[in-house]
Amino acid sequence: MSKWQIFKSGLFKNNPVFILYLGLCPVLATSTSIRDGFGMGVAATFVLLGSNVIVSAMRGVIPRKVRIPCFIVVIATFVTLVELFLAAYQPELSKSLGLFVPLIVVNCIILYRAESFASKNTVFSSFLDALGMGCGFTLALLLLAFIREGLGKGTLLGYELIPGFEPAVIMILPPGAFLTIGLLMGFFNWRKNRGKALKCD
Amino acid sequence: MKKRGDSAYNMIVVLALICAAAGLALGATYRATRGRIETQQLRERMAALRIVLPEAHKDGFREMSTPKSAFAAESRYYEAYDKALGDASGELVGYALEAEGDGYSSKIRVTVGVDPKGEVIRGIKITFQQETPGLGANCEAIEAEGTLWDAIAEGTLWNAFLRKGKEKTSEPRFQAQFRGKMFDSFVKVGNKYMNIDGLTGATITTNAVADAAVGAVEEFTKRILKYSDGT
Repeated sequence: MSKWQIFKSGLFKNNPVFILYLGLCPVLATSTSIRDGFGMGVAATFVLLGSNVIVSAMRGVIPRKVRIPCFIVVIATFVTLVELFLAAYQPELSKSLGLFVPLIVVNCIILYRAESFASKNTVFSSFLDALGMGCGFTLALLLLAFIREGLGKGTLLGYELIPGFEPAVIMILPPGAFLTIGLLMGFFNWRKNRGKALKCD
Repeated sequence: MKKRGDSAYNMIVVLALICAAAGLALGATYRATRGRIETQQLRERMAALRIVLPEAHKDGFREMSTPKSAFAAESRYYEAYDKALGDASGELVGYALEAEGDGYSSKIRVTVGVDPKGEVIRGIKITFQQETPGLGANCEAIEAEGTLWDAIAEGTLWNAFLRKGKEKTSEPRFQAQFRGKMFDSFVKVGNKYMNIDGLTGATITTNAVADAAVGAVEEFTKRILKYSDGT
């Protein structure tokens, strides 16, 4: 696999949200506005980059039996760093993301990439993989947040989208998140499977 | 990951070393960011005080201590003067209280400004809430300022993204309705405040904010102000 493909795979072919169905909880919860969605995406990408690079650099040292505790310590360290930096430099974002920043620790995308990619590949490949997965995650969040903020508040980044548009509050509420992500997953599955012959068991 | 090194000794040493390195990194970062985080919190508190008592001087807030209670979530309240604290000619323009209430899904912190007699609410500012987006969180919702297309045309879109400028220019509608009203004009009938335009679908948040703000002023006026000299 070429380096470019490693990066690209996380964007569409193996998009963590729409294809792998990972990390859905933060995606549903923080996609109520573009700003929060973007902040969550960048925070998770940073943690993913840090954990992938460190895990990959130490892949010859970590004993196999305690690999999961080791990964979790590395991931939790980067999450705490993000928390501190957000509180220091982006207090508004830190307040609106709230509990979902510490919860990045248990975001399965990050542990999944550490286990299935970073612990078997070189540092540079792992870096690209993290970047691709992180961007894929951020793109998914932005897409969801764009639809939900647009329909649910009638705004984009706090600016009115169409004057006089009456927003549907349900799109901001949890049901709106499930509706949107279900339809988007359906669309991506259709795109993936189109042209293939139907198989019946 | 190689097979070698799966001995108990190796596992313990590696895990301990990783934890030690993580601890060091976190300690260093904590030290480096602590000052800045405290500055941010202080700045936020001052910004809230200036919003609820706009007529006060920016250096005219004197912190007073008080036992923890409904109106003082942090064991303190503020006296506000129209001149800087060092200036003896400054006149008292009001008090600022920091109250706390139980919302639907979070604690809600409210800073309330009140006039020197302890009767008229000068303004309220919600400083912390994590209510349901789209319902309770609307207590901090700001009316959209113009359309997206205007923002693109004026080149202010990037500022909006960074949340610059917006908070200063407009006050959330829900919070603005408390300005200039006597605290005893907020009458609760059953489960509903008669003269508050509530948040749609968020009665609990509405009542939590109003209870905290009105209750804080009432308790402050009856318990503290009555016994302090001069008033």
